[in-house]
Amino acid sequence: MGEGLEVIDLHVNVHGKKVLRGVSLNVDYGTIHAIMGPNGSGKSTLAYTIMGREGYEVEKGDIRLDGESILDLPTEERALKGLFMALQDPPQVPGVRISTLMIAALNKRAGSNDLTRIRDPKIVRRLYQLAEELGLTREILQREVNVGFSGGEKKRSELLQALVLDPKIVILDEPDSGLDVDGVKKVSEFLTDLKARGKGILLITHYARMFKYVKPDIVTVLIDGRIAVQGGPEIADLVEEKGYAYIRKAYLRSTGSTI
Amino acid sequence: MSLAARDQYREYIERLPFQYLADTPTVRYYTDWSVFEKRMDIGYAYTQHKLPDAMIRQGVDILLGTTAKISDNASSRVEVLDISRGSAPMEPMSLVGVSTKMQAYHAYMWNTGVYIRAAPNKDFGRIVVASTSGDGYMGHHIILDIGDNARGSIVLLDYAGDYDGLKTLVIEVIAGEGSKVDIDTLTIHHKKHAVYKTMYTVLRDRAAITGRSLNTGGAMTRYEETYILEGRESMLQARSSNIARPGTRTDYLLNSIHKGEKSNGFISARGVVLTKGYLAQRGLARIDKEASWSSSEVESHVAILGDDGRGYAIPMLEIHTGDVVKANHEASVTTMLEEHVFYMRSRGLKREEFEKLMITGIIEYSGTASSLNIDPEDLFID
Repeated sequence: MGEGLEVIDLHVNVHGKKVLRGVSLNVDYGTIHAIMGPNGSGKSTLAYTIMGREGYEVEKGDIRLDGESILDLPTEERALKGLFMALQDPPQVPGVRISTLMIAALNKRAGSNDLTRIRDPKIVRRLYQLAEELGLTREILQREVNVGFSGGEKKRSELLQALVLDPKIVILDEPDSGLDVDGVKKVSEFLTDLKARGKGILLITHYARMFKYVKPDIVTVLIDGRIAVQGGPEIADLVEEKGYAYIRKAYLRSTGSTI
Repeated sequence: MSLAARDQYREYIERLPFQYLADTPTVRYYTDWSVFEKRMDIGYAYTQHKLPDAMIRQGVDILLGTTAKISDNASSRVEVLDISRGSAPMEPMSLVGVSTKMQAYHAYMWNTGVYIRAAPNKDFGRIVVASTSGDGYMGHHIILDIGDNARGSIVLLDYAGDYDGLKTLVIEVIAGEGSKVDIDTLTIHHKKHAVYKTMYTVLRDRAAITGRSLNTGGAMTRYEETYILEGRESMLQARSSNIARPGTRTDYLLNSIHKGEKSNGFISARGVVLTKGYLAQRGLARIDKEASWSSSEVESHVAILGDDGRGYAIPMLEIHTGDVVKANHEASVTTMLEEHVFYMRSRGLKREEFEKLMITGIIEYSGTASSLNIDPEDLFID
């Protein structure tokens, strides 16, 4: 039985439009698998499909976590099994504090029906500690989810949730977008930390700038919903140096494809 | 109040408009005034509705119904005068003024009222004032006169019961120099009742008010909560939670008007709209010319959870001086979109769990639920 996340020959339609056309990849524990590609190549579709978002229809293929198919599971059950996705632009949720959300999500993972009760005061202390490690103030935990947050606060709040909920696989959709150099460094440190803790990381990014600070184990480039190239960190360097247009041309030459 | 004054108000009812200007070109009036207009001819209520348990357990000191009932406990800590039939040390409506039809209607019609005076330099503890409704019209007037440097907590309970009735409630508050007062307001209106409610508070020099309110309206609830920061270095923190239950309509206004130098105001409201509910949540932060070096913030966020619900969040900021320390406004109306549902499901929560969390969170936002130990279930009366 496989360990980690396996995506097998995935074909996905979104609102009737074919977006992914046979994507296969693995995310092993303790590794960072970077997904790169130009706009519209299917990066976010891959992430949403793994999480089971409505409207992302799997036409063919499978998604497995630790060898078991999760295709038939609703999003919340996939999350409880150990998948976590940090969104690129998470929505505002007025009325729900970050701490409330975290406690509810932790209680669900502990099998409790009472979503608001703090089962262990240590959880609150840990929340404070992790927030500070991410460069957030304690006060942010009492703020409503993403309400009035700056771009950087949104990103860090997503990362905080990833740390607290302790998932097996963390999917990050462009965690560096909208961040300054210091912000990118901080996120990169966080990824290194998650990797050291044995998490499998699927890192979706448009640019290679993060890789100055954190090296991916595998880099996959998607072009028009297909894997154009897959390899080690040198692929990211190639993207940075030559751009996606070059990779696209090279891919078309190698396959004789007309996409 | 003299009979002549009352007669003048009667004339005003005919002459004055419900409001002078339309609210927006598209939404002409956030309050459906026709609901009030249709009920303005109903007679006085002769029986009064029993308060819900959530209010009774607060330990009511002063109960306004068809008459005013004042407990000995209240009289031992503050001076309380029944102004229903007599004159008051302060003329009713003298702070609010009478410039609209509903203000004139209240000024002419209100039938039960109290004047409460907290002595200067003393802690008056906690005073609970409740206003109920009846099978017909009921009008209540409350004047709170907080002496200089007085301290204490006031709980205002406003209930309207299961009847196609009309209620008007006007609360006028003077917070004396250096006074420090917490005001908790709990508003629960049955979906058959129409209620016109105003709370108007004037803060003198260095007065500090922490206002918390939890409101759920009725057939049409118009609730305007206005704070005039008249005094130098006066301070206001006002938070509100508003719940538009299925089939109810509320137009809620929370205003902070700065007239005193170095005054500091923060007004913030959260609302949730359930199926076929309606909530307009408006707020005005205004810094007048004479209120230099003041700070004012206004926030309004509304979440629409149910089908066919309508919600508006309208914060306004008016600055009439160049010398301002801070002036911010922020607002959002969040319709429960698939992206919200996906977001919370991706954290492991089902849609219904997320909605419950959101409703509970908005109920708890103002702090009233915690301060008065209110369970969300207490609000869903119909």
